[in-house]
Amino acid sequence: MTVENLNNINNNNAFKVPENYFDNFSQEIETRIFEENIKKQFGNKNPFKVPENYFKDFKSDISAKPKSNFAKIIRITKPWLSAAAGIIIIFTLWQFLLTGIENKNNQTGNNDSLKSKNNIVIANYQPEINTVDIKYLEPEINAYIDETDADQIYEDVNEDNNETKINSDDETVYQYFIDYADDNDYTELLAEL
Amino acid sequence: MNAAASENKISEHISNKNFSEAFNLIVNQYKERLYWHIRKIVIIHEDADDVLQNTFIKVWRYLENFNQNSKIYTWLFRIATNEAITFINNKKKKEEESLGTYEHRLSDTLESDEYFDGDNAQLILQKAILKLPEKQRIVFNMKYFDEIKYGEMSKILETSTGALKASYHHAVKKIEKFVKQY
Repeated sequence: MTVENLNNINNNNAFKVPENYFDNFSQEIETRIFEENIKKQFGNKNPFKVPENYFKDFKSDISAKPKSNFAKIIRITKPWLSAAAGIIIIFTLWQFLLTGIENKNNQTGNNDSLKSKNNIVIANYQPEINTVDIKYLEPEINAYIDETDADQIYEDVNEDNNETKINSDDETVYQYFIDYADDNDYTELLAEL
Repeated sequence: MNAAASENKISEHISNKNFSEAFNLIVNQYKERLYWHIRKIVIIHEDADDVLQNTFIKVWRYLENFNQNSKIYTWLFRIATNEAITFINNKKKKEEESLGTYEHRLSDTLESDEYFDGDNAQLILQKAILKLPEKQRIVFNMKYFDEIKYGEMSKILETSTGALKASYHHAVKKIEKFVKQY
């Protein structure tokens, strides 16, 4: 085989490399050298730890978190927020009973630890509502509902806004909460807590 | 159950609309990996716990919309990364801190953090990492500590491998320069 033939083989081989492979090669080598230097000096062991049994005790039931968040919400927001949230829960439960919307958990049997029927109902109605956040409020809101007369809840909300925002008509209650969600970044509020 | 078998089982549950089973399996299988990914971004355990919870809430909320063409692992890490970034940005905004101040405070916090187990060298390294811009910091942690391949990282961070390699290059270069002082 002549030298000319060998050159042809090199230039026309069957293998390909990724685009810009040779252009970036020197940078990659430099990266590796820096990386090795850092590893040699510091290693790459994870320096963080967690409280004892953190992972063992970590619950897959997402309702484990809500209480503390709710307490914070109540502390920093106006009372009517809790009232509005409470009302939407009442409405949601009412809707659930009326419409019998398909519950995805029912398809999976009754061993659901998430207890999220209310979320799914709301989600089907108006996806932009922060449904899980409403779920957060649920246990405390239920307590609030138990302890508070329904008329008083409506009164609280209206009084706080100095105008009649809602009445016992479920449609206006629902709309009120939708408007609240539109005007306020509820997700952001929770994330900031 | 190994990772591949677990992914298959989760996909099967989702296909059969057994969302609760899928979710519980996801939590059990990925909580630790997601936690450590998040922890390296937000540094403080309590913040990592919050972000992990938020991540799983998002997972639960969108599980029925999960596109089975993607890997569960990639999808979860993408959510976790976004949640961690959102969390940090909200904290910065809330505290009206100027650029870099938040990271500076985190850096100071590390020394007294009861859940930081590193020696002095690891403390120096973490302080160097905290000096990086956010994106470089995430890429550095994923590559350096978790050894995630660029291809996988590209799907998680929705960034080209070329850009990721460049980010990592800048990150190691800056860190090497920083730690040379010690």
